[in-house]
This record gives sequence, C-alpha cells and structure tokens, in this order.
Amino acid sequence: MSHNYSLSMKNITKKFGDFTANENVNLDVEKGEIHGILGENGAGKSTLMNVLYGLYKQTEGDVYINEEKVQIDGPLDAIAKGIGMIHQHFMLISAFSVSENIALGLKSQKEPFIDMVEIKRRIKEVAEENNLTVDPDAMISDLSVGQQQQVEILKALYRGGEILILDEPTGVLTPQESEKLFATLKMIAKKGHSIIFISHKLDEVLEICDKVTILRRGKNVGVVSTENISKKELAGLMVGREVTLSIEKEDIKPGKLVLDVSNLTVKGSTVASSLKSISFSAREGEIIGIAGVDGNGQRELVEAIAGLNKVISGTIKVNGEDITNKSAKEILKRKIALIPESRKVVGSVCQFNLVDNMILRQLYDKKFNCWGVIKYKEANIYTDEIIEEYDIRTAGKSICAAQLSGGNLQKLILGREIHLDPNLLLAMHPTRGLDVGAIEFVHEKLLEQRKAGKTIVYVSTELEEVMGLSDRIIVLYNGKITGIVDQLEASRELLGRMMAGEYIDDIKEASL
Amino acid sequence: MNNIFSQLDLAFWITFIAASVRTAVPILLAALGEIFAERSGVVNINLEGQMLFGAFVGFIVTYITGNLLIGTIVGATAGMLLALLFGWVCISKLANQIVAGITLNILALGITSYFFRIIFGVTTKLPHVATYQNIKIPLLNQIPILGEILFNNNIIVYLTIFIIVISNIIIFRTTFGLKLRSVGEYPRAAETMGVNVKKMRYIAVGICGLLAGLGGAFISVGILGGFMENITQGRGFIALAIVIFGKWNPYKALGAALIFGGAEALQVRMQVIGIQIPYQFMLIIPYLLTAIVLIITGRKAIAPAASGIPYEREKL
Amino acid sequence: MINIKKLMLKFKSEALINNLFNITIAIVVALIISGIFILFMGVNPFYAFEMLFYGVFGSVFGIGEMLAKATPLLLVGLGVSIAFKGGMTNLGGDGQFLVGAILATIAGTNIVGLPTPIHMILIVIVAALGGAIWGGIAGFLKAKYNTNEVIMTIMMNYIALYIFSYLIESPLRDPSGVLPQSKSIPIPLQIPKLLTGTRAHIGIIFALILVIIVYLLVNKTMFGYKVKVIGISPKAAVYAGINTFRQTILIMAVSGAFAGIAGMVQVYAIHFRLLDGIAGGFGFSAIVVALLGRLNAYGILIASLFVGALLAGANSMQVSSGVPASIVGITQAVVILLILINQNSKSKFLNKLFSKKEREVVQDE
Repeated sequence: MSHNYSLSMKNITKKFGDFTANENVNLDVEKGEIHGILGENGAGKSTLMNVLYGLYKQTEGDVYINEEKVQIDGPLDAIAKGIGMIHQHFMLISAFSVSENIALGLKSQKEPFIDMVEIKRRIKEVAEENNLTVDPDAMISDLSVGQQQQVEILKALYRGGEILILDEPTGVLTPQESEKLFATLKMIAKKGHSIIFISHKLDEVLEICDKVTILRRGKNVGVVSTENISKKELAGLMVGREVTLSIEKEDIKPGKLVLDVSNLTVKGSTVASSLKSISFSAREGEIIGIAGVDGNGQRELVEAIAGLNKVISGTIKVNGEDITNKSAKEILKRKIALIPESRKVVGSVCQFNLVDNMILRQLYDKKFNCWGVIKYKEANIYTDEIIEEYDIRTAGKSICAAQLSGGNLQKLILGREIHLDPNLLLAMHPTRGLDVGAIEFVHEKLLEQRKAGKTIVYVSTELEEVMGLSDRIIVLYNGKITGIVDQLEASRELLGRMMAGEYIDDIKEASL
Repeated sequence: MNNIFSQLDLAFWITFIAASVRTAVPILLAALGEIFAERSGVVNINLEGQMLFGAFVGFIVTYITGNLLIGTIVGATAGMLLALLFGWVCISKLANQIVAGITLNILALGITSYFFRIIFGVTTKLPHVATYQNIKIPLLNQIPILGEILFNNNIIVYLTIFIIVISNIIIFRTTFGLKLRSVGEYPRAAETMGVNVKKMRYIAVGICGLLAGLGGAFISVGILGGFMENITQGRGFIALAIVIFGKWNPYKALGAALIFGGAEALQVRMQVIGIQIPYQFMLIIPYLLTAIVLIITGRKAIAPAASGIPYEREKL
Repeated sequence: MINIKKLMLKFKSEALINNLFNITIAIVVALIISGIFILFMGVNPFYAFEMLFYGVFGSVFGIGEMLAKATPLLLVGLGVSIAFKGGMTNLGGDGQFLVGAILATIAGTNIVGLPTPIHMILIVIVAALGGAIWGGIAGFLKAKYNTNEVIMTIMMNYIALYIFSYLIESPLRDPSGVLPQSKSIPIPLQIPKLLTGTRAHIGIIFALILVIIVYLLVNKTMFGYKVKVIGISPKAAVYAGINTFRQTILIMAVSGAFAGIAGMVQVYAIHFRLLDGIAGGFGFSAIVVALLGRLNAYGILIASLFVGALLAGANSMQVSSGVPASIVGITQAVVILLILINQNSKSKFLNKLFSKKEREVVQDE
C-alpha cells in the first residue's frame, strides 16, 4: 500500500436475512480528504456507514484505521477509534439541552455526577477552534435544523473524531446553509480530519469532495476523482444507465381558478411551522411548487387544505366553494387528493393487503360501500386495474403493503389518488427516498395530470425537481410566503435566499 | 351535624395527616419505581402484580422468620424478580408492554392466591404478624404538629423520604440518570452515543420492581400485618396515574401521592366519625379521584417520547 | 412432535396451522409448569389433571359447567377483541359486565305487562346499552382528554363494583333475603337450560350467533375496516376521512356492550338475581380468551371453551385433590406469556424448544 489511508474498508458484505445490503464494498479515505459516497436511495450507503460506526456487524470483510486492522464492536468503540457520525436524522434528544446531549455517554470527572461546568467549558473551546456557533444551554427543540447540525458536528469533534461521516447532511438545509456547512467541512479537513460525505446529490458531491466512491445496488461501481468527471458521467455511474437530467414539460395555458387560499393561519407543531396569514391561488393545468426547508409550514399548509389540520383564520376555496375547516371526509368528497409525506404511516396501512389499501380513500363511496358492507368484488377488480396501469411490482394483491418496496408503495398511493379523478392533487415529497426510475415515473404521472388540466400542489425540498416541474414556485419560510416566482425566473440562488427568509421584493430591490 | 364538626379539632387533623402520609407510602414507592421504568421507556402496567408479589412474599417471610426486616427485604426482592421477568418479556422478547403487564398481573394474582391457600388453607381467621414500630426522632418529634406528622413514623416511611431525594438526584444529576432518560426519549440516539439501551431498561425495570415490591410489603407487613387475596386493590394502577399526574418527577409524585393518601385516609376517618354516607361511596373516592386526575392531566402530560415502544436494534 | 407438525402443514393455510401449533405447545408447556406448582403441595400433578379433566368431561354436568363458564367469557372476550383491534385495551370487562347486569335486572324486575319476547329484547338492549355507556365513557375520555384507557377502565371497574355493592345492599335489596341481593328474575324471563340437570343454557347459542356476527363485522364491513385502521395507524385513519373521535368512542362502546350482555346473561341464566361476586374476574379471563384466540372470533370461541373447561374442571379438582382452583389462573397467564414471548422474538422460542431445526416462518408482519 503506497497511500497513507486513514480509513480502509475492504470487501465489506452485509446481509439482512436473504437481503444483501452491501456486497464486497471497498472504501479508502486519506487523511485530510473529503471523500464522497454517492448512490441512489437503497444503494447501501447508510448500511456501509452503520457497519463502520459499529451499529451493524458486517457479514464479511475488514476495516482498517491508519493501516491497522480493527474490530468495531459498537458506537462506543467507534468513537474510541476516532470515528464520528452525523446521521441524516439527527441523533439528538430534543428534550435535552445541548450540553446534556454532549455529555451523554461520556465519563465524567465527578462520577457518578455529571460535571456540567467542565462540559460547558469544553463545548465553548471546541466550538471556537472549529468556528461553530453553539450555545451549550439551549434546548435542542429550540434550535433550527442548521444549528442542530452544528451541535452534531461539535458532538463528534468533542469526542476526538478524526474521521467524520456525514449522512445526507444537506437534505434539510437551505442552499446558503449548505455553503456554510461546506466551508466548515473544508476547514475541518484542512486541519487533518478525514470526512466521508454521503449524498445522492451530484452537484454537491462535485462541489465539495476530492474523490467519490460510487455505490449501486450495494456494490462498488467505481472510485473517481471529482476533478475529471462530469455531472452526466457521474449520474450514469450512479444509476447504471443514461439519465436525462432535465424534466421536459409542455406549454399549457392555465385554465380557471381552482384553489384560492387567502390569509390562512394554522397552528403547527412548532412556531416556525405555524402558518401566518398566507395567500395564493392555483389554476387548472398548473403545478404550484412549494419550496422551503422542512418544517416551515409545508405540512401544515397541505394538511389544512386536505382537512387534516384545523384552520384558525382565513379561507380555503376550491372551485369557488369554501372548504375551510370542513372534515377530511367532506373534503375527500370534493375530490381533493393527497399524497402524504409519510407513505408508511399515513399514506398506507402497512398490515393491510393491497386491496384494503386501495379503498382507503373511498370508504364512503357507494362504489365500495353498500350499507356498510365492503364490496370486495369491486375492490379486487379496481386493485388489479391500478396494479396493471401503474406497473406495481408485487407478488399479488393479497400481500401486505409493508412488503412492497418504497417505489412500488408510492406508485400504489399515486395511482389510488389519481384514480380519485381529483380536482386538486396535493403531493408532499412524492419522490423522497425513491430511486431515479421511480422518480421519473412520478414526474411523468404528475405531468400527465397537468396536461389533463388538473391542479397540482407539489411540495418538495429538492430544488432541482421543484424548478423543473412547477409553473410557479412558492417559497415558505417560518410559516410565511417569502415570495412567489415564475418557473422562468427561478434560480437556486434566488430560491435559496428566499428559503432563508429574504423576501423577494427586498432581493429585487437590492439588485436594482 | 354539630357533633361531627366538633370532632374536627387539631388532634383530628394531625392524626388525619399522619394517616395520609402512611397510606401514601406504598403508592408513592410504586410510583417512584414507575418513574424509573417510564423514564427509560418501559410502561410497567405490571406494577400492580409486583406490589402484590412484594406484599405476599413480604408477609410469608415475616410470618416464617418472625423478622420484619428480612420479610420486607425479601418481599422487595420478589417484586424485583417479577419485574425482571416482565423486563425479559418486553425488553428482550419485544412483547407489547401493556399486554405483557396485564398477563403478569394475572400470573401474580394466581400465584399469590394459590400459595396463600396452600400455606394457610381455608380459614376465616387470617394469620397476623406484628407491624413496624414507630421510631420517634429525638428533638425533631418535639416540634408541634409537624413532629407528630413527620418524625414519629416507622422506618419505611423515613426510607421513602430518603428514596425520593435520592431518586431525584439519580435521575437528574448523574451520568446514569442522563443515560436512563436518553433511552426513554430516543433510544437510537442513545445507542449511537454508546449507551446500552437494553441494559439501561433492565436496570430501570429492576429498580421499579424493587420499589413496587417494597411498597407492597409495606401494605402487608407495614400497615395491616396480614395478607389476603388481591390485597393491593388496584393501588398499582393508582400509582401509574400518580406518575402521569406527577409529570415523571419524584417530588411532584410525592405531592400527588399525598393527595391520594389523604383521600384514602379521609375515607376511613369519615366512616369512623359516622358521616351518613353509604360506605361504598367512601371506598370509591380514591378510584374516582384517580379517574378525575387522569382527565385533568390527559392532554398536558408529556410522557418520555419512547415510552411504551420496544427497542429493536438491527432494523432496516 | 415434529411429524405431527409436518402432517398439519400439509393442509392449507400454513400461518393458521403454525398459530395453532404454537398455541398447542404453549398450552402443553403451561400445563407442565402448573404441574410443577401442584408438586409443591405434594399432590401428584397427573392425578390433579385427571380430576380436572374428569370434572369436565366425565359427566354431562361437567360439560354443562364448561359451557356455562365459557358463555360469559366468550361474550366479554369478543368485546375485548374489538377494542384490541382498535388499538385499545379494554380492561373494564368487569365494570361493564356489572352495569349491564344491574340495568338488565332493573328492567326485568320493575317493568311488568310486556309480552315476554319484547320484554326480553328490551332487557338485552338495556344491558348492552349499560355496558356500552360504561365502556363508551372510557372511550370518550380517551378521545377527548387523551386519558389512558387501561388505567381508566380499571378505575371504572372499582367504581362499578362499589355502586353495585351499594345497590344490592340498599335500593335494590330483596327485603326477604338474608344476604344482600336483589329480587329474583320472574321465571318466564329466565333463560332456559340447554341440558337439563346442568347449568348450560341457551345463552351459548345466542353467543354463537354473535361470534359469526363479530367475524363478519370485523372482516366484511366498513365498521370493522375502520376499527382496524385506527388500531394500526390512527394517522392513516384521519387521512382516510374517518372521524377518529367518534370511532374511538364507538369502539369502546361496542366492546363494552358485549360485556353488558354477558352480565345480563349471567343474571338471567345462572344466578337469577344480583348478588356479590357475579362478575368474578371475567374481565381478566376474557383478556386471556381474546389473546389466546388471536383476536379472531372463531379462535375466541375455541379459547373460551378451553378456559371455560379449565375453570369448570378446577372446581372439581379442588374438591377431589385439594389443589386450589386458583392454579388455573397461573395456567392461563403462563399460556399467554409463552405466546407473547414467542410471537415477537425472531428465534421463535417455542419452535426452538420443540424442534431442533428452525423452520422458515411465515412472515406475518
């Protein structure tokens, strides 16, 4: 070995029962390097990192740290060996303060008591060294997502992390926050830490990483230097076939007004996600994209329209009819379809078979309900139709929804909602966690609906998708609309600034 | 009515409050245990059974050995053993905590009734043991009113006060407590910080059973000096309500438990001074109060986020 | 053992057979453990079990006793299973049973002049309503104030118990009786016997009809569908347009109604009046029955017969061998415990216990 690798993973295989999540995966990371791991959802990136962090035990293969073969017996052991992990879903306890989160699992100088004074002193020290802004006394639940991420990074550095793993760290950030994160990471790398950056976003990987290891279906498909590879080539490697990166959309003249939201105020789960008097409208044949960092009121907006969340003030009109605070059942009757954020908990009933899942949204429809008795004969036919039309890969309609893959489950939900023949289709993160093929399928179906003159409200945090699909884009920040822009005007930079709370008028004024 | 009110003098109130403290102790001990369990993410509906076990074993051992202290300790240990069985079913075998709790309650009732019957046969004369003697704390018991209420009690009452203070320190001030709370809030996060989730939950459930068993033993050998079938009479469930009412905090649980102790003591005293209400309505009071408390606390109570959810490690 | 299983597996519905197999093993192991407990008191467990078995199947009276015990268990168990399906734990069987019994008795002893069939229907409705209200209150409080229904139903058991105790001592007391008990039910209203010389009554036929109704209700109707959605995912239920507030109350009310009917049946067929101890812990045994029957109506029927046989046999065992009847409480709990340990653990504890090789298990998650 000529290189001086700070970390090497050799021929890692991890099986879960019959399922192979990683097969003969190799990874080499140098000191001071930012190394990307690129792959689609389900390519085995997280599994590999969980093996490295000792959360999973590999079925086969070895791990070397600083050229020395090691056995990682658990997170504690990983931490002791200098590995720090920043999970995609932050491993922070929101009912605890920052310092309590940092102190968790550490030996104290004053055992059995927690030495808070020392912890706080060290937090300040580490934060200063690495240019992080962290208040040790703040409660996690009071921090923004970006701040929580800083706590996570600090937590890893505090424990002497030499190799930092970041799992999809930008998914919850605005483009500007991402830039700030990248700056921090570059600085930390320069000080000699190795950073493993896991992502499925090509631009980011090209921007920040020195080298990239690409995974597909649990296997290595290449290690490349980011200097001499194009985005398109990278995409091809990741997906395994030619990918069209742009979304092609026909020009359609918007029809009559369908959705009219005015001065809508809704109480959300947090202050930031509570809607504060927002207004917008949507027409036939229009896709309205809702962009914003998660938790800025997107869910509250969609749920208020669908009748799942109470409206405090303001009105929601659909086709001229006021539907404000009508029950979900009443709104469903008016053909307002919803693809919920959570496929498994809200969008489907995991222990039900496909037939039962297919009638979930038509319980009160005469089609499947005869004096309270379910018409299973009709339901079976209907299910077969949708399975066929939406190409749902399943072993049959009597298996339960939990056994479907994410993509197929989403197809089921998509098909079910579109078959309601909706006046208005609300889609929340419909492509989240799907592979490229399924994403393309969802886009295709939504554009088909648009062509048929339907109105679609499309919520996503993936700016590329929002910009590609939408006719107009609304940006939500802190429960308010910071601006509504036409597709043609939209840029990453502009949307990013609006996502961070700048109003469009102010941005325009400043640039004049 | 006049003569009833004439009885409500200072002496009445002192004995009433002292009785409240005494009746609060077993419920409080169980509630303190439950705070540990729920803080770690385990809802221990089996509390009733663990109290019953403690009451039974505590009584039997005292009866055989003639030694109250040994009886109490063994009783508490019996509660702990049942709790560890419950823990095994829920923590290692991932069973639904509520169903497992109910099942083990039925088991505890079955076992205690069975062995009580075997050992003492069918008698109308219930066997008795001597109960704990009060220990007057010198000087402090001379304080007017308070001295009688607080410093003229038996050793278990003093021990309970000590346990409250210690529990609060353990839960909120120690590294152990931090780990304990973390596995009840977000076990996965705790695990990434090297906390052994299952071990923490076993320890918490063990502590819970120990305290519930002690509480049960206090009922049989501390207050009544005897045992009968299902002696705990739903006190384990009342303790569960106290934990919710006391917001999973030892000191607040103390306050809540005193209210219940008061209700029970009041019920007894009202019968003694002969208020003309059917005795059944007096007996209802603690249960009705529990129901009311649950309604009041309902929406406001924020339980540890992961309580009641089994934790499984390698999950895709 | 392994051969029997292989033979059973040749039949269709592997999951069902697997279930049955596991339950059978659980029962066998529970009996062995109970046997050890019986050894503690120096009685030969085989003798005790023989007495238990003989007590049930040795005579028509014994079989009648089994049916008489199984009837209320079956009714309450069906109700409990509906609550479980809806994601709630109804431990209030005893309380709901008592309220049903009280109202049914009042309706039977105080209303006169109605034709018997109409009077009878009225009594059943009143009893169901009583149980439904008592269960529905817990449902309402859960829906409205997010109270824990487990603790609430237990508290309501005690409340019902003391109200019951008060009623039979004062307002409803039969002045001519020595013990506190109500007036007796007029003979024309009493539920006829199924087998003469036994306590088995035609209430069991009524219960059997309810078994079929519950099965259809759960599997073929929108009500059952809604119950199951709420039980699995309340958020999905809201999304489906289900009024979860109303449904939560309804589920607990329906669950309670079954217990209320059981209370009525027990008064009209067995005791003929209200007296102390008539609920006798049916609420808890019904939980055992519901779980043992895997929340399936037909399964519950079989489970109620099994537990009914245990309870009936236990009495004669106690008389002839001196083993306290409370041993069957231990047996019941151990059976459920073994099933619980087995169903969620990957290693399939019971399978491992009895067959060396672990067989591929049908995924039922």
